[in-house]
Amino acid sequence: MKPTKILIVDDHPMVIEGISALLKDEASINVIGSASTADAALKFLKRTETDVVLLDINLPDQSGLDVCKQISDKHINTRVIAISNQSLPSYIQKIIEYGGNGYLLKNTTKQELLQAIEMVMLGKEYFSHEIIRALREQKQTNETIAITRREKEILSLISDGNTNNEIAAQLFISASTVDTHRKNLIEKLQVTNTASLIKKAAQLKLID
Amino acid sequence: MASFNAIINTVFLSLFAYHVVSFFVQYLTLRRVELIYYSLYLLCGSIYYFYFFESPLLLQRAQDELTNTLNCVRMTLALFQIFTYTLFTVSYLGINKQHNWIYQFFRAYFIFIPTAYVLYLALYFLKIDTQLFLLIFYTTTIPVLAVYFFAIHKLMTIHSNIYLVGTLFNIIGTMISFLMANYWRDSAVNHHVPAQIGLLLDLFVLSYGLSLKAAESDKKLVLVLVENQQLLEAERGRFARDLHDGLGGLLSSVKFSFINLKENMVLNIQQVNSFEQSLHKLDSGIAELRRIAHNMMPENLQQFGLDVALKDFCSTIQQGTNCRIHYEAFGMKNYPANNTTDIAVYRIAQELVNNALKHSAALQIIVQLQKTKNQMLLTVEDNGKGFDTAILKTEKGSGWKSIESRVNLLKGNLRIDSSTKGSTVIVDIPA
Repeated sequence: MKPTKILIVDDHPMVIEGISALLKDEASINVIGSASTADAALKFLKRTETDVVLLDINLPDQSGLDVCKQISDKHINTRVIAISNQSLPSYIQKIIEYGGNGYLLKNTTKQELLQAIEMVMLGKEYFSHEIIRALREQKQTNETIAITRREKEILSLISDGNTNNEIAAQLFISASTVDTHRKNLIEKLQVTNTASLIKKAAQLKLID
Repeated sequence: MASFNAIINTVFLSLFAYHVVSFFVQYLTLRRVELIYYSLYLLCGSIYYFYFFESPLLLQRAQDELTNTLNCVRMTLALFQIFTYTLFTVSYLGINKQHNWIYQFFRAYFIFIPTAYVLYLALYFLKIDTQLFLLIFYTTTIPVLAVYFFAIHKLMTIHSNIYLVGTLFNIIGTMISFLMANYWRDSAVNHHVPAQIGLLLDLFVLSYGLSLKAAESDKKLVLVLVENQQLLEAERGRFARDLHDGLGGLLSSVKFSFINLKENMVLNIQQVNSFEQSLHKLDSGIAELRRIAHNMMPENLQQFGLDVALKDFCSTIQQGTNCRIHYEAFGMKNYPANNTTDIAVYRIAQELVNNALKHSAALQIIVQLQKTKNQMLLTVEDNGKGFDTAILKTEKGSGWKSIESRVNLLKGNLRIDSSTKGSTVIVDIPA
C-alpha cells in the first residue's frame, strides 16, 4: 500500500516540526510538505497530489475555515483534519459544514493522530472526544424546550381563550408584544398555528 | 402707574430669585461652573433692584441722594455683577488660551473693572469730585465694550450668538433706563423698568443657551464614554490575539517537542508517569490560556456574529456545572455580524449568566435573544433562589454596575424581577 501523503498547515514552525517528528517513523505515512499560510497551502495543493491536510484554524492570512471549504471544493480526493486549540462548537460545526473530515485538539496524542488519519483515509470521520462533548453540549442547549415565565403566562392566557388585546390588557404590555411572544412560542414548539401550539403545550405539560 | 411699577418689580424680583436658586441647584447636580457664576450674577442683580428700586441708576447724582454706606453697597453690587457676569461669559463661551487675543482681552478686562472701582471709592471717600472720573470711566467703557462685543462676535459659535442677542436686550434696556433717569425724571414709569425688562429677556435667552449647552455636553460625554468602551474592547482584542496566537502557539509548539522527546527517550515507568503528568499540566495551561483569551475577546463574535457567539457561550459555560442553559434566538437569521453594539450585548449576557451560575443555585437558565425591527430584547431567566433587588441600589456588585453602564450607553432599559422562584432580567435595547 502506498503511504498516505500528508500536508501540515500551521503558522508556528515548531508545531509543524513537532507533528512531522511524530509521524516520521510511520511507514504508512509520508509528510510531503508543510505551509505556514493559507496561501502557501493552497498553492502547494494545486501542484502536489495530497491525501490528508492537517489544518490549523488560526492562520495569518485567512481563516482556516475558509481554507477547509476551498480544499473540499477543489480537491475532492484530499481530506482535511482540523488541528486547533479552538474547541468552540461553532468552529467545529463550520469545519463539518465546510467538508472537513476530522477535528482534533492540539493536545492530541500520537495514537489519536494516527487513528484519525487512518479513519479519514477509510472515508470516515474522526473527532476527538472533547470535540464530541462540545457538540453534545451545544445540542443540549437547543434540543429541549424551555419557556420563560412570561411565555408561560401568555400560553395559559391563550389557552383560556383570551385574544391578544385581552392578554395585553391583563399583563400591561402592548398587543404587538403579545403577538411577538405568540410567534416565538410557535417557533419554539415547532408548530404552525395557535391551535396546534396549545395542543403541543398541553402535551408537554407547559400549561395546567 | 405706581401699581404697574410694583407689579413689574415683583415679577422681575421673583423671576430673578427663582433663577438664582434654579441655577444654583443645577450647578450642584451638573457641576458646570458657568451655572454658579450666572446664579451669583442674578443674586447681585436681585439685591440691587430690591434695595435700589426707587433710587437712581448709575448716575452722577447718586452720591448726593444716597448715604455713604448705601452708595458703597450699590457700587459693590454693581462691581460684583460685572465681575460674575464676566466670569460667566468666559466659562459659558469657553474662552481659553487658544483664543489668543480674545483671551488676553478678557484678562485685561478683569483687571480694569476692580481698578476702576477702587479708584472711584478712593475719590469718593476723599471727597474729591468724582464727576470727571465718571466721565472718563464712561467714555473709556464705550470702546472697551465695543472691543468686548467684537471679540465675542469673533467666536462665531451658536453660544456667542445667543449671548450677543441676550446682551443686546440688556444693553438696550439699560440705555433707555439711563436716559429716563437723567432726562425724564418725572415719568410715571419707574426708570428701572426698561432695564429690568431687558435683563429678563437676557435671562430667558441665556437660560435657553445654558440648557442647550448642558444637553451638548451630555451628548459629548456619552460619545466619549462610547469611544472609551470601543477603545477598551479594541485593546482587549489585541491583547487576546497576542496571547492566543503568540503565547498559545508557542506553548503548543513546546507541547509537540515534548511529545517527540518522549517518543525518542528511554524512560522507566515512573519517569513516564511524571512526564505524562507534566504534559497534562501543559495541556491544562494551554486550555486556560485559551479560555482567558476568549473571555477577553470572543473571536467567534467577530467571525460569526452575536447569535453564534451567545450559543457557543451558553453551551461551553454549562460544562462542568449541573445547570442546564437554554439558548434561543428569534429574528437573528439575517442579523449582520460585526455590529458595534454586539460586544456590549454579549458582555451583558455573559455577566448575567455568570451571576446566575454563581449566586442563584439555579438548575436551569434561559437565555433568549429577540431582534425586531426597532429593538433587541435580551432575556436571562433562572429558576434559582432569587435575590433581593434592593441590594443592587445600595452596594451594587461590580458586575451589576458594568451591566447598568453598558445598558445606559446603549440607551437601553434594564428590568429585574426576582422572587424565590427565580429571577428574570430583561434588557431592552433600541436598534
